[in-house]
Amino acid sequence: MGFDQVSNLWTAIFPLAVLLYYFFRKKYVTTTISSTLFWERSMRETKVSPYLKNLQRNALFYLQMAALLLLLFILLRPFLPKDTVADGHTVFVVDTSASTAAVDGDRSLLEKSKAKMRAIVEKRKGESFSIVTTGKEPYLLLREETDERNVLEAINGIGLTYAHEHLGRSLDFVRSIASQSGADVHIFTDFLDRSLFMESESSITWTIHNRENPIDNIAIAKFGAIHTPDGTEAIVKLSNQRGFKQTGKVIVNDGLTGARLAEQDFSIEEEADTLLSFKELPMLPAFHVHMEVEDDYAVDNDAFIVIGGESSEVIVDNQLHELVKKAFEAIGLTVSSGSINEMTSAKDHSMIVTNETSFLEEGSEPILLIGRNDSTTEPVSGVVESSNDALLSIAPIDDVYVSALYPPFEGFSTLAAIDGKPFIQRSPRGDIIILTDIGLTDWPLHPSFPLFFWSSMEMLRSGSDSAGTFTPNERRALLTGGGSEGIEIFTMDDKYVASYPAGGNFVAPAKPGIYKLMDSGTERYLSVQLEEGEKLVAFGPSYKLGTGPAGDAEIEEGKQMIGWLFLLPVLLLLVIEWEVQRRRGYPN
Amino acid sequence: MKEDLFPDRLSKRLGALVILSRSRRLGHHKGTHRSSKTGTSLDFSDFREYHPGDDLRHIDWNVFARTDKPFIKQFLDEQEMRVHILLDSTKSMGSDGKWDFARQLAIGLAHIALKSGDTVSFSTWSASQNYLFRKKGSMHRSSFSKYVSQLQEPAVEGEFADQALKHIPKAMTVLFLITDGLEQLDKWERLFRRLPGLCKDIRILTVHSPAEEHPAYEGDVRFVDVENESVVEVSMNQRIVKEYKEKKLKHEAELTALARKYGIQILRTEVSEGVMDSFTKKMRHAGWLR
Repeated sequence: MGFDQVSNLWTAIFPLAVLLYYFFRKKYVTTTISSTLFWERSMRETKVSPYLKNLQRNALFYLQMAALLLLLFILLRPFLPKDTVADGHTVFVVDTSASTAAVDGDRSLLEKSKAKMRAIVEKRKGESFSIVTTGKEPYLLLREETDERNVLEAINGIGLTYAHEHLGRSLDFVRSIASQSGADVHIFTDFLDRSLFMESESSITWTIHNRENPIDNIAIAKFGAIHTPDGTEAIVKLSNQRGFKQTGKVIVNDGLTGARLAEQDFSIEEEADTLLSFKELPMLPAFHVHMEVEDDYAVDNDAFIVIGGESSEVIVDNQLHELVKKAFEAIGLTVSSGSINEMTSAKDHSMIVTNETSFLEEGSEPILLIGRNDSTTEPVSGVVESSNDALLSIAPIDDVYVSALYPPFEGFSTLAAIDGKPFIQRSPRGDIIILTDIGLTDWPLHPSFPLFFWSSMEMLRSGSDSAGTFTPNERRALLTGGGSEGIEIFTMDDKYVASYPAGGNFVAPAKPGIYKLMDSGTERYLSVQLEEGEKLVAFGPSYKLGTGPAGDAEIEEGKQMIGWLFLLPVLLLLVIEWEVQRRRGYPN
Repeated sequence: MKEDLFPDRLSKRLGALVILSRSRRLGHHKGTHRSSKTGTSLDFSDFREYHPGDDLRHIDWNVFARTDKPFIKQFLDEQEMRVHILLDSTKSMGSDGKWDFARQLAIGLAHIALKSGDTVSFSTWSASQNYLFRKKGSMHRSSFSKYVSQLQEPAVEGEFADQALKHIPKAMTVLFLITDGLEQLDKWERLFRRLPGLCKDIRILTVHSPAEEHPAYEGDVRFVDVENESVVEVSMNQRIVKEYKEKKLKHEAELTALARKYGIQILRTEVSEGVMDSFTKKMRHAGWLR
């Protein structure tokens, strides 16, 4: 048996004080009386054996002493060294980003980390374990699980999520779950700098398992492709992280079918970048570039791109209301205002917002038309009657006041109307037409105003094959068609990945690649690309911080706390004391 | 303070009281108490026939003239009483106001007796000397008061019952013992066996203090006997107090029974009742005073 809190020995003062009190206590008040004739007789009858009498007379003292010593004993936190039950808490923070897929020796870093975790779990049978996986949203895989089998099962189930680790968030998360009781935290990652830790966390022991071996890595740092009149041009930027001069081959494939389109050999100096360009590729919606090279990190040897739908630039007609531009700025787009000439020249790669009706016939991309410059408004009164279109699903416009409307276009479908007259229309090409000037409404005062422009932009873009480029597990809202079936994601091999009932909580797949997105019958493509940070694999020595209660992991042994067992006797003693006090009355 | 011990107003209230005694033994001197014998007082008692040898001066010549027979005219005799007061001066009398109360009793009794013209003797003793006071006549009341008042606090070692006999003069009509009675019964019995030989009318006044009647101690108390310094440690509780009271009552009852066996009258007085009540109520009720 040992004691966990020997420092609490100072509380021995209390029993000692009671002892002294009884030492110096006047046991009897001496009273001189005329005769002890009768007292003597009465005492003689109650006399018992000297030992018992002593016990009887000092019962309160012995009981108080026993209670205090027991409390002191409990304060010292006695424990029995035992392996079966222990109260240590171990937290594993597992980096599941793509960089942990890099091979370290014979296995990937993640597999190595799993082996280390399993070794720790075996060593600390019966303790509680928590497992946190990293990412933009740290995920608590296990919470204070003591069943060793469940822990091992959970460790085996950890897979790559490819997303950047965002270890700072995970650390805050761990601090919040371990700050109360203290814990032994093991972090498994490629590299975590010491500077992230604060000195004040005394209850937590941090053990950081970094990747200790240097890595040979050549990454496709950037991959871009663009449709030109002469075919598709692609540029690949390679970067050699360290080591020595490397040679290899870069192959460009069709992103949808995987057919080989072009290949090019390269050679790259140590710690240098190189650019490869491919020209006159076919006009395909998606490309996949693969690098054949000898290195330790395979995930960044592939890159994907889906062409189109990348126009995040908006050109707003400078004749339009200033608030239209503000609304596009508010939803995070690059906005510029321009004249008709500027818009005409940029109409193929930018989104046009104008009141110039001629743009409805020009260009290949649909536009957003606000007002008409070829007509005049007529006053209107009444409430807005909106249809159930996806455009208005997140931007309700029912309470918008409109004072006047332009005449509608013939043959266009009506999305919203006032008093039977069309207010918002959509052309067969997909153009969205608002048949009023912003100045004639109170729309900018409503929260639906910027939301409507976001919806419009998503809607105008959705004409293309591209659903956008995502990072692994990125959470981003998608404008869905409003169908009841929601969004479904498939790989290019038509394997089901996930489905989402609404676009609002869409989360991109984890593994980099090109995916099919099925949205109420239409098929679009989305690409998942690694973040820049994941294309570099860091390394550094492992280290350890803090001296928490868990102590050194190597020599730790379980402690069975038995202090609580003594609480009941203390209570019992107090009850007996109370009874003795009650019968005896107050001493002196 | 000494004047306060027995103020004059108390003395005045005792003025009407007289000590009664059926004892035949009276003093040799003339007094105020009727003797059973015929004597020389002015009160007529009886006639009886003359027998030769009678004093011729006592013949009632008027009766002789009428009857031609000589009759002796007899008068009642009036004689003094000899009252002795013995005060217990063992240490146990010193506590709880018993000493003052006992001295007040002694002075009161002496005043009553002195006023009746009786001979009063008072004795007590201390460790170093014996005290004896003996006077007759009401003139000496104040000097008696003074004598008793100046007595030291009791400091006598040993027990009253063992030493009392030495301090009792012979040929006493009435003997008052003022004590607290806190001694073993066998010692009292030894005393009682001897007392009737000295005096026929023995009266014991036992003095009890409130602290003895209703002990109010709490907690653990070490009792030290003031006389023999024996120590008793007692943890007070209701049962112990109850037993104490029972023991005390039993002791008193046994002492009373013992005294009655030897023809000794015994009367209980309590400090808390006050000295006047003891005279005007208790002693009159017991037939000791009138």
